Amino acid sequence: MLLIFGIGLGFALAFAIGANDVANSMATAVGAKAITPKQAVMIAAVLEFLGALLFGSHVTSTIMKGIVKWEAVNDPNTLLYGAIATLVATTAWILIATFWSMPISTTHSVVGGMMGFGIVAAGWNAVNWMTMLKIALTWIISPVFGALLSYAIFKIIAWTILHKESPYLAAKRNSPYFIAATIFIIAFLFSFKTLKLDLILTILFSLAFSAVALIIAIRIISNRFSLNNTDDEYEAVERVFRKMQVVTSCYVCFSHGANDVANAIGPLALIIAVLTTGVASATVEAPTWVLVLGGAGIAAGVALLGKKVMKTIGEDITVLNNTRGFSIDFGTATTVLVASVMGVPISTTHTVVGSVTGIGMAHGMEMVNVSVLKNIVWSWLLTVPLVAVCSGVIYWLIQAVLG
Amino acid sequence: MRFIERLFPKDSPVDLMKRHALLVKEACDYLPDVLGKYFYEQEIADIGQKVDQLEHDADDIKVEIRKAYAELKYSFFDKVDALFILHKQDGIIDKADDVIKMLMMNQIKNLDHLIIKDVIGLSHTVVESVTKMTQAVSNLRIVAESSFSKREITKEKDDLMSVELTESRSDDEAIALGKRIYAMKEKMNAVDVLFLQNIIIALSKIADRAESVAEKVRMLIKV
Repeated sequence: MLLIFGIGLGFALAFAIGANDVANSMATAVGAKAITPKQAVMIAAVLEFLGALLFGSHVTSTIMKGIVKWEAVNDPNTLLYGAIATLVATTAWILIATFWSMPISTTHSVVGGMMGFGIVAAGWNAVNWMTMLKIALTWIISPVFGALLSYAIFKIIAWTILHKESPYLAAKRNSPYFIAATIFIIAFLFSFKTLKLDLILTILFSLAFSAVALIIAIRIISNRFSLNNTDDEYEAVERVFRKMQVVTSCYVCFSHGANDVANAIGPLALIIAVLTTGVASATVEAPTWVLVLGGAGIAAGVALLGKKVMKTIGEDITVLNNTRGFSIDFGTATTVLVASVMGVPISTTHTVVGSVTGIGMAHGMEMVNVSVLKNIVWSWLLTVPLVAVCSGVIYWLIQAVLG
Repeated sequence: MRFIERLFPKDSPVDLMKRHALLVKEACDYLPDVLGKYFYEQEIADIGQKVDQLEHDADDIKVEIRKAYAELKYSFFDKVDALFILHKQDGIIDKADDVIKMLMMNQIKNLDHLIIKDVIGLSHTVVESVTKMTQAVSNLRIVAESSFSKREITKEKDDLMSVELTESRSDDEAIALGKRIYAMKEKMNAVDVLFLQNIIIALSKIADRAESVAEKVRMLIKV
């Protein structure tokens, strides 16, 4: 019964992430008209699932075992009730935040939820504060890292393409290398952290993949693009990057699935571990089918409710073009994927905000409503303690009724 | 609206500046026509109404630009310089409106055809300076899109030089015309002489302001 309840809650949370959070991640691609909302839904449904399946275990492990010290709790039922309390508190907070359009992060919510039940169940020492500190630091570092990466990639685009005598010809010549770089990063992280190949083999494997991507990108870009009489050179460059941004949109979804699936299935994996083994063992890992369930939940959320949200976003964001959108996506996706393989749960949405700010700092676009940034900081400060308190209270109630 | 959308302005201030400049140009484009009708004693009130409406529309855009800049943290160009350009563009449409209102106040009759031709000629030169200014303001979008490439900045500087040269030409034309009108002070009604001089000075000021916009645009692209 508890298992079905836990699966239901985990799936619902994954669904909510898919319906809501994915739209924020895809906003720049849809806003820059690189993809239609319908295409975004299709890309997100497939790539979120793949990201969750291939890279999702690292962050799931951190949520499951890194925040609350299992040995301090030392009671399987406590972990079970705590995981349920975390799922309930997180889901409720996300629903409230969605209703009020608050810039909250599901990652921050679930981390706060785990922390809250841990403190109520076994005191302050039950929380692994070093891991919490590491996670909290990455919440500051990740938007900054996203900003620096998007700033750097935009400057490289400017130097190698926009500042050239013929930006259009430079785009045809140089842009495939950006695709190759994207594929290299994904292949490198996958080989090194998921397949656990050694460094030399990882580099060879990644180079081979990126070389294939480079050849395909060169062929597509040289065959499909020509300068129309009506085009100015910069419009033609944007047309090339419009197609390239499809790749970085996939990259964003893949990375988002890799990191954010853990928010839904981390506590669920804990429930399953306790119910199936009956003990609180720190050696237990999240089963693959749970990753599949989380990925499917996100995909279902995107497919059923994501389109409407993305359509609204696409209509509202009108000032973004594709060279900037590409840089934002690249900065965001790389930051989130690197965090995922390090097992650090970060907020994709906040990383997007960091990446957008990076382009603003590079004089790449007019942006950033200051009040939005203030709201983000406030939500960051409020979410963890609020969800922690909620989760702690729910845990206490469950313990009082069932314990 | 979701918070991610609120990161981006609804309209780019640079695009709004271009729209404002286009309205200014549209208002100034009426000047040769309105002067022609005036000197040949035809009705000009309808043109006055059209320019009034353009001025009103430009004021609306001005409010949007100020609001956008107040909210933005990062913009392509320095906010103070951009708002100065807006102020000067606003001054141009005001001046065009003033010229038309002045014409509606007093009718000069039986003016020398050569003078009429040269006043209308001066208005064409003024319109040319405003057209080139509008082009320069519109090109700011391309300069920004190119991430301030030397190629686009050089092109923009050439356009700005052209605004300055046109303004200089309008000054020469206005001085020459002014001298000829004062030379007619014995034959012409004194009030009409002063009235005509005021019209010429007002037209010159339009070109002056277009040049001020160009000078500020030159400062904007020095990044």
